[in-house]
Amino acid sequence: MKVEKSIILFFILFSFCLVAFAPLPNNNSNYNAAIVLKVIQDVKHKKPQTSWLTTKPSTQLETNDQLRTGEKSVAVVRFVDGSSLRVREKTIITIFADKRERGLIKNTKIDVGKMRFDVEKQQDDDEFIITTPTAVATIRGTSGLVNVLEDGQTILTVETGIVDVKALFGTQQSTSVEAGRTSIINRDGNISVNQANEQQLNEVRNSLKSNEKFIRVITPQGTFRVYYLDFE
Amino acid sequence: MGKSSPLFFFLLFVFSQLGAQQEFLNQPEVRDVFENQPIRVSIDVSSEYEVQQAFLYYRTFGKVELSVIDMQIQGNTISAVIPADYVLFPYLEYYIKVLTTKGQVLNFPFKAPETGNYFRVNVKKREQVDERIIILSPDLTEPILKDEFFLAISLLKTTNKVKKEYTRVWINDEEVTSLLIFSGDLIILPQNKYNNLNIGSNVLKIVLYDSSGKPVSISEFQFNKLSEAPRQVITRPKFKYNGTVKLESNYESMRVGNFNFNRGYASFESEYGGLTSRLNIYMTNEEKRTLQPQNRFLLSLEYDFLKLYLGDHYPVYPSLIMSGKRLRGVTGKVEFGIFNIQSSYGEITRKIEGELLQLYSRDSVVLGSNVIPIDSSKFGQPFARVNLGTFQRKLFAIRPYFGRGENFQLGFTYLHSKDEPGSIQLGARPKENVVVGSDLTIGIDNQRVLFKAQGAFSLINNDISIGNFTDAIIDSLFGENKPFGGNPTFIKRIRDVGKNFITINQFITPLNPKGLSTLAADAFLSVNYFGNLFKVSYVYKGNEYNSFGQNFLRSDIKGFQVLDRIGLFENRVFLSVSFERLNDNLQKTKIATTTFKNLETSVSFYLRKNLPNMTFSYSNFSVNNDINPITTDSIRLNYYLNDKTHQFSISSNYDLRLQTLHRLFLNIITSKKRDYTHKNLSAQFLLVNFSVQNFWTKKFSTFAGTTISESELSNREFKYYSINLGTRTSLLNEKLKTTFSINPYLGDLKRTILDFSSQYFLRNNFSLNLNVRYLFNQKPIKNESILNFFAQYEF
Repeated sequence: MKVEKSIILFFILFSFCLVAFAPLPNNNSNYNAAIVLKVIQDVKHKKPQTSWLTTKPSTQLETNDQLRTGEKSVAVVRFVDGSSLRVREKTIITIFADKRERGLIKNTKIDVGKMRFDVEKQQDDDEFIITTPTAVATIRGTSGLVNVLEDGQTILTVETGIVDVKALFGTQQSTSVEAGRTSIINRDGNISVNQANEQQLNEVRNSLKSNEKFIRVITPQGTFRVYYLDFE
Repeated sequence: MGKSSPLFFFLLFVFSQLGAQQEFLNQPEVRDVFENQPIRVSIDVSSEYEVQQAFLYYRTFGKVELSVIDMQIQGNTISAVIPADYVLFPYLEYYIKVLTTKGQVLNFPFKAPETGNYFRVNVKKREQVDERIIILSPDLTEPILKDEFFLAISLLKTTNKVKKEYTRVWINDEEVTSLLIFSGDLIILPQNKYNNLNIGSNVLKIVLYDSSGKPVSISEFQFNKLSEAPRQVITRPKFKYNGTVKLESNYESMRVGNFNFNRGYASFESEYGGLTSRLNIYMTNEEKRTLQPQNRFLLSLEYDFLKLYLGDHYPVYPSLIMSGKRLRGVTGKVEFGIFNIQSSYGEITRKIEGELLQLYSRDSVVLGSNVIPIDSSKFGQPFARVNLGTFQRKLFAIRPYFGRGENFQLGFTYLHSKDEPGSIQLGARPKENVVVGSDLTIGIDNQRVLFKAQGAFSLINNDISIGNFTDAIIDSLFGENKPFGGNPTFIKRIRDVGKNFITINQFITPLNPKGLSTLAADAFLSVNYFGNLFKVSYVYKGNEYNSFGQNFLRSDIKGFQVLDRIGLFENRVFLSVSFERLNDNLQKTKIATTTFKNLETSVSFYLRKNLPNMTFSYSNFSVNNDINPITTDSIRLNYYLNDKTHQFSISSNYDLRLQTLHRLFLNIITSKKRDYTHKNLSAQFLLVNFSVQNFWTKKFSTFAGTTISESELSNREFKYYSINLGTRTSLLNEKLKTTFSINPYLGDLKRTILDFSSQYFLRNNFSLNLNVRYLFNQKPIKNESILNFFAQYEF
């Protein structure tokens, strides 16, 4: 009986120690992984349990938050490691982030639209991933543009650095895309990599621009401002 | 009369004390000061005094010798910056000396040179840890528009040592921590919460702390703000500009009269391509021909490796040769890295004509240092007693140097400065000065091992009005059976070569360079490993060393200093010990040799966040010379020095978080100087400061403090106590900011000061400011008031 009591007491103490000294789980759902730096025109965001809210500069984005841009709209989002996304018009993205001891894993899901990425040098536990309906791209550095068409086809142009791409369908091909090249991943899981043409390179360059300009039009009825983005 | 005289002198003393305390209108602002960051000191002198020159004397921990800076004078505001190299843990002390145009000498703190009661600034320690702070917003590479500003800081990459929620942030020296939102790794200052950004350059300072509240990292970032208009300018990278215009008017009703003065200040900065230009103009109606320039201007141009400064500026050369001296002229600097060169030319003293007091004929002339020969065709007589004027003094300096200075730098400096004898009519003894020197820096392992040395040799001619030696004079003075002996031919050769650099005559110093009387040199070696800083330094300054670019070096001194500072218990406790020994009379030109010994120790505790940080320090200064106190020689006895000073201080600060933040400061300094000579210059003082700042809401804070000051000099006591209560509020959506405080003084100094200041923003870049001070003085001194109004526009 005495032995049983001792064993029970031991297990109680052991359980207590396990609970007391076990590392607390990371509650990543509340981790502010990114912040919206700039908003042009119509940008909205939502949490899984909320409806779409108007996005303003300094809006913080947690993991699972979604952000969408309307027509002629742009949002600039910066992750806490300094990496940034320029979300172009008519685009929907979802932010995922996993805080680790020595870094941050960032996964941005883009359902449709265009998004430029500028990634800081990834260290230790850092990872920067972009997920599209047809592919997963691991950005090893440092900038480029991803364009997801309505049918889910992904066009990835790398401006600088190198990106590893893996198709999600078919034979799940994978390859590396280097600077100055464009990769197209279709719904069948086929990946093609070619030299980027002038139009694609221009599009990447223009995606960097996120300044809004205006023209002031003075009429007898009043003064109007016509806003436009600086590359248009 | 026998009884009334002491009473009269006592009253005179008390009133002189009262007057002395009112010479300065404010105390220098005390802010968090960290190691190796420059300290800006600014103080307002009552306008009843016309400031001619002002000096800041300061000393770092462990040093007896005071360094001096020529303070900048803008009207009655005097200011100076103590260089970062001198701001060392655990504290720094200074006092300010002001010379007025009427020959008065004012000191802040009162009688500081005599009592040793210097103004103390506690310097916080920072570890050499490079914490990586990521600035998410604003973009540091591009200017922002006024409405766009919000601050987002990421501490994702900082080490575990950093307690993120203890982080404190300043923008342009204004602490904004109370406005911040802390969210995990993110720290955010939301949009429209802070409206005090400068148009143009802004400085963001972030201090990270560990869990004990000890600062572990200080980082500074710069960003630019544009005014509203140039949305187009932001996309036009070729030309950027910004500026500030400030117009100020002052009215002061003081016990000795009414004064009013107006000032205007404008600054303009532009960038075109890689060329950055800055123009600063300061104008005041206090400009007078009898003073050194009050109106100041400066144009600076910087392009890649080229820098050019035109106007009133303070060129920096090795400190033995030129530092802290205003030059009206031009300085150019070309920095290629391996080879660099800097040169300056201009006027360091403006001519001020003397004043004719009395004319003398050749027969009636009397001797006197202010009796000079004058132009009889102009003044009617050949001699006059005058108030001596000031010659225009010009200066040229050049320094070629090799290496950037991180690991290696070797420089050579030549300085020539000369009074223009013809610049005024009523002056005497124009001077000329040449200094040559070299400096060396060697840094190893990111300057953890650092060696710096500099040396300079000076020549000064104390009267160049008679020109160079003529052959006849040399023949009459040098040669066999002549006063100086030597070879006259050799002396003539020296004159012919030397006169290209400096006027050669009998007033040149040194006449005999073998005694090294005009040599100055200093060197230090520091080793900083394993949290232990060890530094040993040596200084030698001959008794006749003189540089017109650095008038305030203490000459005739040599000695060494040893300093050791160690961090213990994971840097929760810091111990500092320093010993310095100096002596004078290097060329045996004084009656006695004086030895100065200084032992300073301090221990600082940064234990836990919920315990206050504390620093205890003890200093022991002793001064004595080799005169025997029982000598019967009354002249020697008069020069006898023997005193010892013991100083003990406690300083503490504590952030108490009770619903809201309450910041507490306590400073206690006690000092006792015992003079063992017959002069009885013993002195002692006790200073206690306690203050608390309460941040009730973001828009409302209060502050309260008390000061106890008790000093005694040669058995004469002076005690006063003061209380300071005030509020700061922000109203009308932060368009109106007001501060009100009341500050009664009790004891030997009786007065009450009411301060009110208000700042109203008509537009984000246009503000009106009103500052009012009313002083209730003890009768019969009449009450005084000061009204200051200024408008500031930024573009």
